[in-house]
Amino acid sequence: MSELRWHPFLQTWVISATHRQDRPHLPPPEYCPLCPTLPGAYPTEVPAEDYEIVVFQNKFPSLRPDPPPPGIEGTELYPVAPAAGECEVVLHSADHYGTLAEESVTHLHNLIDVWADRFVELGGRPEVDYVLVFENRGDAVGVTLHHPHGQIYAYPFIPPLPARELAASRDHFERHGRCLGCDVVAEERSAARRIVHDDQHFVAFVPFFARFPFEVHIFPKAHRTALTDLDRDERRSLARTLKTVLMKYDALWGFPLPYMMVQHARPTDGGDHGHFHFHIEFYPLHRTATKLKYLAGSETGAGTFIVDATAESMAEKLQAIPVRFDEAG
Amino acid sequence: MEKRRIIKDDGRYLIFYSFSKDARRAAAQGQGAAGTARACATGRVNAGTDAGGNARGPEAGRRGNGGADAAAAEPKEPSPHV
Repeated sequence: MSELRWHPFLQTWVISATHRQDRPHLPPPEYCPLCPTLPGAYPTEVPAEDYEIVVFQNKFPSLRPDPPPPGIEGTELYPVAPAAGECEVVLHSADHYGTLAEESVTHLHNLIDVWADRFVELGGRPEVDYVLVFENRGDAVGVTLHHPHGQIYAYPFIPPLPARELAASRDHFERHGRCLGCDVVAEERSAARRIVHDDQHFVAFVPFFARFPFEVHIFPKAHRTALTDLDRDERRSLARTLKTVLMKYDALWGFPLPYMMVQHARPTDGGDHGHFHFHIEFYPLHRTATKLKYLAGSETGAGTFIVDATAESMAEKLQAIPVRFDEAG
Repeated sequence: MEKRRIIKDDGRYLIFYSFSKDARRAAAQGQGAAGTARACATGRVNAGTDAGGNARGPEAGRRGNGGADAAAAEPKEPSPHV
């Protein structure tokens, strides 16, 4: 059962999805549902012996195209709504032990094309106001399946964090006549000391206002509102930038760094969001090789993050990690 | 980019994205092979998946637990995790 319940203090929807308690939790590799289906073996989610990139509807969705009516009657103070939308799983590797960092630039470029295709298809549905592409990686982040995969949520509303970013971008544009994202990119490139990678069309940096340890943001240098705005060269540049950041992450302490990767694009609600600047944010949780950053009282209860290192020192460590790869691969 | 959508037994859609000619061929043949494997396990075959071709064959050790063994094993019941 899933439904939307209104949080009157935070003025946002909470998704109640009780059926997700039954989803698989860290099954052993031989029972991985995201591996290809091999001849004679049990059928997995993917009915093929191999694949490049696969997208399918999540078996345990928080949001679905044909949601049941809410299981409880709402009130004026506590409105409820059907949990309409979509939850997709994106498989970018048939290799159970693969990582995004190991993928070729060409494969990452292909993945970007798939993300853009999903953005168009899901965002084109009338009930979808916002498409969120993301990846959770690592036990520390709470993954329930180790096989590398990303996810896409198509919400019937604009979630609160993108809504705050949109409002801030709109406010900045009205006051200064410029895009907030463009100004952030200009400020970071001018300061230079927090830049992790400067590619032809994209730049990656630990933002001045980083909330997570080794948080990295990837922004297009030109004003773009979504992946769909990017031309071929820009997508290639994004692929190179993604690979560089991911390789640095995995080299930081010699193990695949757990992270959340979240794309921030314009909404798909039909409104005018031309002032919004597309970008990708990475939120790692390791503050050292053996210590995790927990979202505790201040972060969860007050929304105020406390970081144990400066953005500049974290950027310096990432800058010091050499990265080499063959782009033709 | 080639995009091929199928509907799974439980009604959910799944989309294969293929980019290289070899991969597109493998995906087309692989799905047919998988459809056959699935028919062994479930007695059902999705429409359009009866090509029965063998794509790249089982890749031993791919899952780190002996892919060859898995391929040689008797068809199992669908995993409770699926």
